[in-house]
Amino acid sequence: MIIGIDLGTTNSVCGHFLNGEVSIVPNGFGESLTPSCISFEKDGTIHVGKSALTRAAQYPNETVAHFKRYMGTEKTYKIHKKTYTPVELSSLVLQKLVGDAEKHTGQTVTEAVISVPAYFNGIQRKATLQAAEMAGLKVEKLINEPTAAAVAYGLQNKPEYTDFMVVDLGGGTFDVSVMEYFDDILEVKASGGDNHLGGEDFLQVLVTLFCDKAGLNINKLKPAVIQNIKSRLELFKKEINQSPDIAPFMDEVKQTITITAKEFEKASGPLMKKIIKAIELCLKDAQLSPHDIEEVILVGGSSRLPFMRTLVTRIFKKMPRTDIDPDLTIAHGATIQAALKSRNKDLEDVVLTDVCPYTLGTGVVGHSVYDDSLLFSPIIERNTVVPASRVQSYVTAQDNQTKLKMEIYQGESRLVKNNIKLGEFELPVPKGRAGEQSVDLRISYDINGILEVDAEVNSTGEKAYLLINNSPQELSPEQIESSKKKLSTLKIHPRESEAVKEIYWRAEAIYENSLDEERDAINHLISQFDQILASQDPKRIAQAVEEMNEALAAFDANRWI
Amino acid sequence: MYPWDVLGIEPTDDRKAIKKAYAQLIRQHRPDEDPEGFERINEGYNYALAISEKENRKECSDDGTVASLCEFEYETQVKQSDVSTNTEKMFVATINGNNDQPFERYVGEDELLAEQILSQLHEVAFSSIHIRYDKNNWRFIEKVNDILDFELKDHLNLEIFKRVAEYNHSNRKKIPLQMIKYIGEVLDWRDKWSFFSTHLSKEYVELNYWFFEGNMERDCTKYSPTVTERVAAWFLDMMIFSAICLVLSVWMQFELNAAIIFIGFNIYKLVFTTFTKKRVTVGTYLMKYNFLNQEFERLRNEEVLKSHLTREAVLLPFYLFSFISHPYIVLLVPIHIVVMLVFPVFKKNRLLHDLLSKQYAVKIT
Repeated sequence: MIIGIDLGTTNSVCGHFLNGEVSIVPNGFGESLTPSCISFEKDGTIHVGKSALTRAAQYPNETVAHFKRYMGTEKTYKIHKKTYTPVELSSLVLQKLVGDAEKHTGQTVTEAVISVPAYFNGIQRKATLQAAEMAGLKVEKLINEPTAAAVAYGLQNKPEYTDFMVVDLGGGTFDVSVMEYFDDILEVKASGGDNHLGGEDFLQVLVTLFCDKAGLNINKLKPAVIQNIKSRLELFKKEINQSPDIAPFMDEVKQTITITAKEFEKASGPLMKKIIKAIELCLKDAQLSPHDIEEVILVGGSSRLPFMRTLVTRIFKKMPRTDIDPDLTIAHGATIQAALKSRNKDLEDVVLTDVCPYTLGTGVVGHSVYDDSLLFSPIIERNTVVPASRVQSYVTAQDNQTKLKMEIYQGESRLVKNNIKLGEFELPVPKGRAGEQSVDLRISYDINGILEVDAEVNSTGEKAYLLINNSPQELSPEQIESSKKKLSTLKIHPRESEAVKEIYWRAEAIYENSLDEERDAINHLISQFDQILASQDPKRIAQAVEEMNEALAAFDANRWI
Repeated sequence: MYPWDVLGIEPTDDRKAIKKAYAQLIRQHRPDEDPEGFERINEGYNYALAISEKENRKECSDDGTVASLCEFEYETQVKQSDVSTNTEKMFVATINGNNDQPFERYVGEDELLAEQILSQLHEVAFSSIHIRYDKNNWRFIEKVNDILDFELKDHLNLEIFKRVAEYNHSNRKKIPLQMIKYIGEVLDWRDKWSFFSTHLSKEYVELNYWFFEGNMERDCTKYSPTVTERVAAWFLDMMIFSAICLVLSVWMQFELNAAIIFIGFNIYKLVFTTFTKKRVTVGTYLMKYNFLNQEFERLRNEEVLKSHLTREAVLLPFYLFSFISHPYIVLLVPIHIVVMLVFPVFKKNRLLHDLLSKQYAVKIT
């Protein structure tokens, strides 16, 4: 069986094709979203998904999340004296998703289509493929997230030559992409965004607002209390339009706090500015204006925020598409692509997406009356499709110059001193009048992010060469094997008792944040639950788990309403 | 003929044909399998698109001015977006390429806001010093970011950029440096330099970015002499200078002395600035600032202002002296002017040489 996987920064989703329709695979909790979060117990047992997220409140040091941001880098996580790379962690999430899918469908999963952000470079894509390999999955092709979103909305059935934009505001990342569809090819024209902007930032805004109104000093609160506030406000965020009141739910706050949608919107102003800027920049890089865009697709859980929709409508003067659950859109697209692939009808998702994320260039004399600083002279512009190779001629700045210093910079600033220097070299030139000696400087950028710089003096043929390679080494097959071995020593917590474990942790968390009289009730519930577990009757346990879930949910509700 | 041979089609300005050819080709040359081939095709494709874009634009503007083209574009845009709010006709000055003639446009809410911001900018920039130095009076600039029509926002940003440069060039009341920095930060000038460079002349860009990015120190001020050094240097200056004057006055008439003293002092400093490496004496230190756009220099920092005043104080006796021997005042003025005009050219080259120590390149334009 072939499945489609959305391997996200905060949440991952997996789907399969059933009776001509996309069916999202539920996890052990019956939910479609599996948090991309892993928690390690001391004895080597690991928890992936919701149970790990619940555990994070009590054991933040043993839990990792957001490792997708570091795919393709050399960052490692150290937990219980063992180190894990983002690739290994991602492969654990994949294993979990595959496990759920196999359990749900009763078939073995052999192949998958995995989505990656459009801005992932060759190294990051390879890292994702390696993660799949470690999880024992065969992945022939990755699909770009905006492409998947477009496929989910069936844009490939639209009339040809359509420009559209995909705005993806997820839990922790914000991506925008401008795409064009023609001749069965979906081309990513430009992409941009912010790697550290998402639903969590909006939640933080709410938390700050809440603490201000409740008179709490956010810096002096215990992590557990903040966690409690966060989980309450997460719910509140969804219903802010219905009721702006938050009834007291913790010891520290006795009065009802009111946060209106207007206030929330106003406080989110700086975040919205960032979003507007990213959209504007992306359009500019694609050399389009808002009215050229025929369709806007909103993806990601946080795109449910009402003012986010209003903003997109105001910019593009058309309603964005959101008919598919924005959390599941990409998984939908990946699954459709997987189904198309199994019938060899998959869409050519041309990998134009490898664009150079920064402008590359060198420093030149400005001849400005006011400022003597070196100016940045761009050679390869940002969002140029790679592999790319550009050449630019430079001449000597003054009489009798004997050498030329070539410095290579990356960045967008006018003065080189505000950009990042990647390397430099010197080139001897014959003496002459200013402007007489010229040098051709060529910068080549390949899909793996490796930069080659060539320079040649036109009169003498003198050459210089510089290789800038900031990307980490690729993993060898042996390294993948050893990673596989390391991961196999971990015991993935059995799926059956996953729900039981999760209940304990939730009960624990609720207990800690409860008022006195409630604590007794929770203790009572737990001891009852213990007795049923001791009976070891699977049917009774399953029933008890359900009852406990309801009871705990009621507790949450009681505290909060 | 490039790029059509790469794409394998006849020269055309039909974008669809270009795209079709491109789509066919990249199926055979995928970037991960054949990077060189892909790069060649992609480059040819972009080049072909650029050509067709140019052709199309030429056709459009053949029978009309640039302004009419813009108006046309704007009207279709309004039609498409069904914005019917406030369509009264107004005069909005916008910049369009290098042709910055105002033309008529239909305006909506955003245009009104833009107009308000521009008039407020004018008002605050020409107000009294207390108002200009109060950041709160400049907060209206932040409203620019409320405009969601990106084209208009760009026009507005460009217009503000242009006006800031012009106000500061011609106006006696300057926009304070920290306010320019503030405006630049709000409007993201840092990332927009290539946009400004394509639409405005080099002078505007250089001037504004110098205000905006220039930190207080630059090459000339890197070496700041201590007070003792200054006094010593000044004393040395005066000694040499008096000696020159004395020598001159021996075989010159007394009446000529005033003019001679003035000219001598300036020539001495000129020579000294030219032949000494780096800033050795107060005289040369002051000279650096004397002749180049004093107005801008004065804005830059306190130190410059101080040195400017010192210079005035030093020169004052000589001016007065030449007034006493009135026939030579006539001589004084043209000489001063000659020195003022000749020196900046000279200085510009010298500074570059100092800084770059014969290493860097200039881009061929």
